[in-house]
Amino acid sequence: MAVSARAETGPSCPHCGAPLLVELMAAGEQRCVACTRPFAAVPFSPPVVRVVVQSVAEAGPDGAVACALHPGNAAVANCSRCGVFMCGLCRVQIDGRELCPACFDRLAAEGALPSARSHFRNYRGMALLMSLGGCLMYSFGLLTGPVTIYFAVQAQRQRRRLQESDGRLAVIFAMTLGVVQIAGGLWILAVLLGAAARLVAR
Amino acid sequence: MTEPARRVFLGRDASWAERVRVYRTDEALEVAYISTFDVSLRRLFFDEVQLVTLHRARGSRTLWLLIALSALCALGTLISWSTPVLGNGFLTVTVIVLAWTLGTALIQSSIITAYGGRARVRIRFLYRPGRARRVYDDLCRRVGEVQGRIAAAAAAAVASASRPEEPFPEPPVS
Repeated sequence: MAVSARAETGPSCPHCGAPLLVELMAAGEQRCVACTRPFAAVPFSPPVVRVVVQSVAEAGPDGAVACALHPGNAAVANCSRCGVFMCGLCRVQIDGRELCPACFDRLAAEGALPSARSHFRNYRGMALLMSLGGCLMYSFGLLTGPVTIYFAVQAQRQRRRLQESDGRLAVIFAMTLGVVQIAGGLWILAVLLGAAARLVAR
Repeated sequence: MTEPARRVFLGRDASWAERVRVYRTDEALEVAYISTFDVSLRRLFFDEVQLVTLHRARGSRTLWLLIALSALCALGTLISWSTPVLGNGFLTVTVIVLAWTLGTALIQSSIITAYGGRARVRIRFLYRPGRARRVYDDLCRRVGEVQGRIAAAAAAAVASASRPEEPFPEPPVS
């Protein structure tokens, strides 16, 4: 896997890496105290969202359904997959669904939640690799061409699924080279068959 | 009518070790670390961004590498100068590498960095400082909007929770 684990230490100077105190910064042109080099910056203060959880005792007799995992907390929703009662701590809202932690873990592991997916196949890269590699091995065009086109089609489907704005040219390029490989393979096959026919005729 | 793209490509941050492409979605920056067969995503959500910076810099490591390469090529040219074919070949390569080195020394890339509590995103624009500025402004605007919306919702929730309950109406006096 290409990703290495890097400890994030918070905002720092983009030039020298010296730590910055965001609380003391104003939006606009800045100069690093350590290296004195300039940079533009806009600081933000991320809002801290606290989940308010009502206890069963506070909820009163009308809303006194306990959470399956936290018996002291009042449930606020059902899991849309397994139906278990969930409190505000347990509720995971993702892709228009409300899930309990167990169902979320299971669906995320299965790759059924598009928003939670963090690994997928690089079909575009494989299509480009196969298209260029296939051109180098042009005599096997009948084998490499269909594989290239398959990867290019998968790459296009992936682009649509992820709703990406880029990559169309790469897919078209790979698909064109795939067709060229097949044509080249057919031509080589025709030449070989012709030569074989001439041999048989003699 | 085609649906607008959900993942908008912003730029890349290539290094010697990895290829990185950065996308923007409605709620986060997505960093795709690309290997030959797999893509790994990391997300920096707009609601956890602490700082966004824009600065200009030269790739110093690349520059040093190119200077070393130029020196090697020049050395090869000097050594092989007595052999015309080899000498001319080395000279051509030296001129190309020198031009590349000069270009790297002169061109400053614009770099946007977004810092979050758990992740950092860097986008490098080699040739288009104007586009870098536009992306930077757009990113700051989106982060401000998202964080402002969350802060407003939290403030409204606190206000509604702290509002005193209305007293029971007095029974009519007959």
